[in-house]
Amino acid sequence: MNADHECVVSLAHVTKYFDQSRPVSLLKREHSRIYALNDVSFTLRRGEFAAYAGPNGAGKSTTFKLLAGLLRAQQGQVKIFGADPCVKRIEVMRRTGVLFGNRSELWWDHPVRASFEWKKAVWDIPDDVYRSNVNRLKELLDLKPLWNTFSRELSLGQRMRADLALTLLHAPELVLLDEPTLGLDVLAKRRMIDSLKLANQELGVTLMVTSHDMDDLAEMANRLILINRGRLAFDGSYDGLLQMTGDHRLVRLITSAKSPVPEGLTLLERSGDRYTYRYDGTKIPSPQLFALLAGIPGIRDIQMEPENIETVIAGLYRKWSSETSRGDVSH
Amino acid sequence: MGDKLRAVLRLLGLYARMDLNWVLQDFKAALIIICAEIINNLTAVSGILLLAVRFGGAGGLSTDEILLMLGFFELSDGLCYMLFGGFNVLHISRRIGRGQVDHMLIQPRPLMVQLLTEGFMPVSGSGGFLIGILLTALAWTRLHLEVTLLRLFLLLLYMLCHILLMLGQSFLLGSAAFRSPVVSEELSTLILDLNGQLGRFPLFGLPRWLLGILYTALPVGLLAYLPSLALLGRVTGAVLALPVCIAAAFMLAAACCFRAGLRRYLQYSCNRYKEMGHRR
Ligand SMILES: Nc1ncnc2c1ncn2[C@@H]1O[C@H](COP(=O)(O)OP(=O)(O)OP(=O)(O)O)[C@@H](O)[C@H]1O
Ligand SMILES: [Mg+2]
Repeated sequence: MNADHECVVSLAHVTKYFDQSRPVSLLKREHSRIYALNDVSFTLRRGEFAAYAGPNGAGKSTTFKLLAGLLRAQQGQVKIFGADPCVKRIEVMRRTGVLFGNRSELWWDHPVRASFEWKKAVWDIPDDVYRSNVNRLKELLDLKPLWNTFSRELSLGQRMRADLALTLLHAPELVLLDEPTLGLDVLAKRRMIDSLKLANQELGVTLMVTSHDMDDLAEMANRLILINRGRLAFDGSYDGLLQMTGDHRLVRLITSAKSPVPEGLTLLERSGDRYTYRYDGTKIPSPQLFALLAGIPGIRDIQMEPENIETVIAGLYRKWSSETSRGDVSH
Repeated sequence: MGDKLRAVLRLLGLYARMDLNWVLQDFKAALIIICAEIINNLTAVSGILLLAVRFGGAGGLSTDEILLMLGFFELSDGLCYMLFGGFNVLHISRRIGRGQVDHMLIQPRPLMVQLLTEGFMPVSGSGGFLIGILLTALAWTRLHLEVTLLRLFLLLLYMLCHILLMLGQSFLLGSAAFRSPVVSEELSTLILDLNGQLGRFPLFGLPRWLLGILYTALPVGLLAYLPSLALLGRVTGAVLALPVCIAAAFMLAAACCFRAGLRRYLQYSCNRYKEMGHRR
């Protein structure tokens, strides 16, 4: 396998804009240019599992469309397996699985089984590969009870499971999932996350997943790529993100006395004798924290925990949206 | 080339099986759909046929000649529907304008191969074709037409032209859906319906300029009228090649526009997505 192929996905200075226009009067239209992606570069190596996140309209789906060859960038280079997905569409698609959570590849007036048989023929999947993959996926995503159900009769989450299995059927080397956890219940989400992790760890599948559920993403992926208004805002590990935003942690106290706010801690919440504080672990090391807490009289219980990733990212999004300079609209 | 052909045949087999399964899954409903289609086709031809019977012919053709023309129309239109009627291949504007090209682009098959195979419904879509065979055979025997090689060749050639004319118009108008989905969908449906209605009319005695239009820009006269005149030996010479030329012109224009549309699609995508119509 050549080195070029080790880099499964590569975006180099990719810019994609859309010209939108809306009528302002009977004869006049107002035009604006939306930069869905603005000079974005990153690469995914074989076997990586990347979470791709950002606020609504950040450019996530656009990125996926560019990667799947459904859109062409105005500037920069998009490469999958070393090739332009728009030019080598067929070769790329043989090795790639794409799923947009708001769309279904299932044949709705046929049993679930029929969609799999259809894909086998269209993707030219060899019999033995098909058999072993179907059995594995049926087990993993609990599709056995649904196998002969008409797709039109599936619930949203059942449909997503069947769609995910269908995406993985041809044993793709790269899988692009745009909001695959849409509508899944807790158990189904578990199953999906487990099957994606398994595909990544055991089969070496390269994965890129978007979701608005940060905890899901944090659990699945070892790399986080954040995008905001078309620009890459962060690319690294979760620990790296915490270092950037500050390692925010929570301390919960139960105390009989009226608790003061120690220096360097922020009181987040108080109900009765329960107090919740936030502090930055990089600024206040644990020994210092203990010393601070020791000064509070009447403490009955102490709990410490990291702030969950969802809150960290919400804080980031809030910060981004308050930065007024949009800079992406030109008339 | 051999590989491509084999792929096309295999996919046709796949879609034929899926069509059969669909019919067998709900046999009663499928039967009703097929019967409705047959009745629909019969009513479409009966109006003109009844007029011809009442007045001993119509539009310069005898009743049996009218029957041949209607039979030819049903035969080729039925075949067209059977080959391309499924999943809106024949109404491609609907799929383009509803953002469903994405579903095609993620399949590892050339778009041409997909379009040639997806619409095949040999079981549920065969009503019109069967009626066509019946009517054509009936007219053929009543007219005591000799079965010559030339006549058979013309029959097959004009059937092909009919199909290409319908596809050409559909893809030409449908390509506009890359730009304005709603307008294209409306216009394309209108024009295809118009072909279905006017294509069954004998055009004898129309002013030359009108006939000129109906033989070229709006080629309804080439769908069944001119071919049946040719089969009857009523026209000879260069005009015999007209359906071939016009069909080729429409296909060429359609191919160019579709390609240009696709290029545009990769720039702008489609900001309208509906899930219905590309699969069932
Ligand atoms: N076909 C299109 N035509 C015009 N503008 C578009 C088109 N597709 C996307 N956009 C614009 O590009 C920007 C990015 O859209 P995109 O769908 O990539 O966002 P996203 O990150 O997937 O958001 P979400 O989380 O809501 O799914 C948005 O501002 C959107 O309005
Ligand atoms: Mg999106």
